[in-house]
Amino acid sequence: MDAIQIDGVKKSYGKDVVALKEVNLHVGEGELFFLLGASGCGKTTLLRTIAGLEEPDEGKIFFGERDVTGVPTHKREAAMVFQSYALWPHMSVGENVAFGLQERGIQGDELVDRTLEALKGVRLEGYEDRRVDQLSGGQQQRVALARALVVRPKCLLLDEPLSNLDAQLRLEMRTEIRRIVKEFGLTAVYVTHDQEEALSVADKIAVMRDGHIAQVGTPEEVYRAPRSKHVAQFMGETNFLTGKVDWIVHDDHRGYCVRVISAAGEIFQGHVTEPGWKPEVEDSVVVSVRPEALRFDDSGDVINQVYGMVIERVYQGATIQYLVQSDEGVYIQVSELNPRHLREPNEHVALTARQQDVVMLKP
Amino acid sequence: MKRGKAVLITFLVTFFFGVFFLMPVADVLKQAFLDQNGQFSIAYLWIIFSNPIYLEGLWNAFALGVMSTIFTFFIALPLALVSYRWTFPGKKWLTVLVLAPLVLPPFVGAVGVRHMLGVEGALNALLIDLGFMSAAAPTDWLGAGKFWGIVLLNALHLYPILYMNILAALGNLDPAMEQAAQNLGASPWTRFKRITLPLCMPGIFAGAAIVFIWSFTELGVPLVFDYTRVAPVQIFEGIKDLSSNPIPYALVAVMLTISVLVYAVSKVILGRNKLGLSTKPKADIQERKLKGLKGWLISLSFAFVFILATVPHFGVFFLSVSSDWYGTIFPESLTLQHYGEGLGHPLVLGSIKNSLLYASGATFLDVILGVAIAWVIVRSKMWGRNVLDALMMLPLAVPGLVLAFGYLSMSENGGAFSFLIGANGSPALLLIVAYAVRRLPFVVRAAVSGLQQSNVELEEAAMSMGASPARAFWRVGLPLIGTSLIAGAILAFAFAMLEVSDSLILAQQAEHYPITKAIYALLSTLGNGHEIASALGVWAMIFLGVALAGAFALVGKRGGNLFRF
Repeated sequence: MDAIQIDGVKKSYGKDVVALKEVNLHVGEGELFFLLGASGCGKTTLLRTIAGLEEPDEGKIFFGERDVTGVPTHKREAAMVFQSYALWPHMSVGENVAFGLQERGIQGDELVDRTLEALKGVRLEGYEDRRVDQLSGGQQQRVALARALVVRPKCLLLDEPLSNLDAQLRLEMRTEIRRIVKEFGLTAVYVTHDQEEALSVADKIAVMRDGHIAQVGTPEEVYRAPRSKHVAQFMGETNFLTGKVDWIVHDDHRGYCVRVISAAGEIFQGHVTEPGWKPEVEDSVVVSVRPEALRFDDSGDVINQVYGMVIERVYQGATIQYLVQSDEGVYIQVSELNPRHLREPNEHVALTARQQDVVMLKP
Repeated sequence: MKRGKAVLITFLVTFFFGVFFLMPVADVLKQAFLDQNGQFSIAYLWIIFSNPIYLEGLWNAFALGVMSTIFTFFIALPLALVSYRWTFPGKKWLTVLVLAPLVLPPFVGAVGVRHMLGVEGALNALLIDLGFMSAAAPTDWLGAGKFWGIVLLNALHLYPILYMNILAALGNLDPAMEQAAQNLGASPWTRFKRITLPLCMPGIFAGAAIVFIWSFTELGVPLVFDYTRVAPVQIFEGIKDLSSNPIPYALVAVMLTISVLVYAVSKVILGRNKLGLSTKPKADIQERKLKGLKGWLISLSFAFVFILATVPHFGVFFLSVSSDWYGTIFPESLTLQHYGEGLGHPLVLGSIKNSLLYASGATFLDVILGVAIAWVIVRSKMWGRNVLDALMMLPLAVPGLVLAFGYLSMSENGGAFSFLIGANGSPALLLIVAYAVRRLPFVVRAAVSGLQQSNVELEEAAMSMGASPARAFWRVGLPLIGTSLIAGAILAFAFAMLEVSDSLILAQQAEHYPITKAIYALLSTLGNGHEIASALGVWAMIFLGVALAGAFALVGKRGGNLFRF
């Protein structure tokens, strides 16, 4: 249960392919930490570097106080759960789980007890003599988890552990993984490309792009205060509108807040999330508002209000999605929870967002 | 760390390979191109190309190679297609049985053929009995048809190589390719012609190249048939005055050039089209069940090929249990006395013991080298590992005769390899190394295909559970490639047991003869030499048949990957 510290790690393959540009990251003790990004962003490379399966070209990795940079995989005490599970087909479920213990010289009763205990921990009692190929996908996934947990690793590394499961099972297993990680008090690094998975179970998320970390924060921080267009878009659906800074509302301990006027004269007011970026008056900015942050309201409030016409609607039961074309001509997604009455296409509407839901980003 | 090990292994293996493969080959070439004064000269080549007897020998060898390959193709392709697509009664056993001829030594079979097709042989006796032939003027089948006899024997011996190659190519095809064509409205014939066959071409070429080189350089069969106007036999005969005569070396150089050319061409064609050959097909091919008459017809044709291929060996069997087989259809009376006599014969027991020693030594060496090489090729990221891969396949392109010659001249008269000759002239080490080098490609292929099919993550998982890389390979990597490795080893062992060129040329004292040389020696002794030779041959065949069946039962349908070079 160590913290993981990653200092200036770089990794490239050959001359042209840069997998990790320069990654600095701190994973706190007992944290369930997510590496989130599209495929090819370097998240799996980073995980494999932590596991010792790849060696960084530059930089250092610490488990707690210990520098593990040159330490081979088998001496790191970092157990990994692979995307393919990598269960050994020539061993039974029990043998798979017992493997790590045997490698640590554990024998006899203790070996048996701890193996069975680990299987119990993932709710697979009585499966120890099964062959691996006799298990369902979800069961295999849990064997892989038990195999990693049984050795009481310093940290647990998970590489898209749920990507081979169907939707229903994915939902069950992600809460299950969180339960286990918290129960054992493990430091866990979890790689995924599924933002919903990350938002729902992570303590902290690092959003990666092109081999670097774009943003680190709690799920709420990265969702509600994304620091770039990329993060805003990657974390969920959002609307981007453009405008020029008209007035700097405040620049103090409450943050940097600006008022922006679009070409059509709409007025937006919200926070600048990127630290160190302070747009001046007349600078161009992108306004990001999530569909669920917009509501139909023509109270006459002029700030953060857009007028437009309903183009299309998609009824989804719990929510309803509207596509609205603003008077300026920009398409805007709106989602309304538990809609009272449905709006028809061609209906003129006014949309309003609260100031704390409006984010100002670099164009 | 990983790279360091890979480099070390590569260095050691390349060194071994350079010394025991490239040097002997280079030595042969040197002998062929240097005159008495050590000057480069093409005089010997000129002698060959201006001598009609040598030219005829080369031409005959080439023609034997081409015709054998064509015959092989026509046996192998239908069998492979049928067994890929359909199930039929007894398929499980028949598909293993049709592989058996590969290890039944044609060299031994030829003895049987001589007794069946000779002037006083079984066929003539049958024809005379039936009244189709006059007893006074029997046909000399072998006199007239030696060439075609050899072609037939080669084809019936070598078709399993091509069969396995085609089957493997088919097995590695993603069935979705054909299904897509079907879905777009292609008829079965169009699908075969436009999708399946083109995608299988690499496999067919790979197999055909090996079959060609094998039959082009075949020594045993022509020798037993007394077909002397063929290059390998001319070379073999030339050993007798080796020290003074550079002509055999020059002939060897010519054969080597042709073989390497053919191999290189097949490699180029093979290298062109890798698309669509996924190592792991997404879906399994649906084998259709052929019921009723059709199914039985297919079964019958498989059985027919097997029986045809083994007729010579049945001949050997009859010969081994006959007290007298001369001018009759079947032996006049049966006896087991030759087996008894054989056991008492000084050559027989000794040669079995020798062959077991040589073959197991060579197999042991091959397995160690093969696993190490495969690990470098598949698992390490060392630069140039593909070159290593290609290098390890070279023994396939070099005729056994060439290597045997190199070893011979390097081990004689205090040459570089004389340290391999043991006390009282035992060639054990020399033969072990020679067998090992020639069979190494089989073991390397087996280990490589095994490693490629097992996911590297399985070993990484073991490491992340705390196993050192060596332990991970031992506990996870090796067991997973175990079956294909064992199959490759058994194959290498079987071939080593029946190796002809090295055995005939390098074993010079009777007490060190391996089985093949003992059979050859027995054939030329008077009295019941043929019968005892046959008894020895039968023992060897039973032994190998069991070994091979075991090997293919182990690896199943994917066994063909052993032959994908």
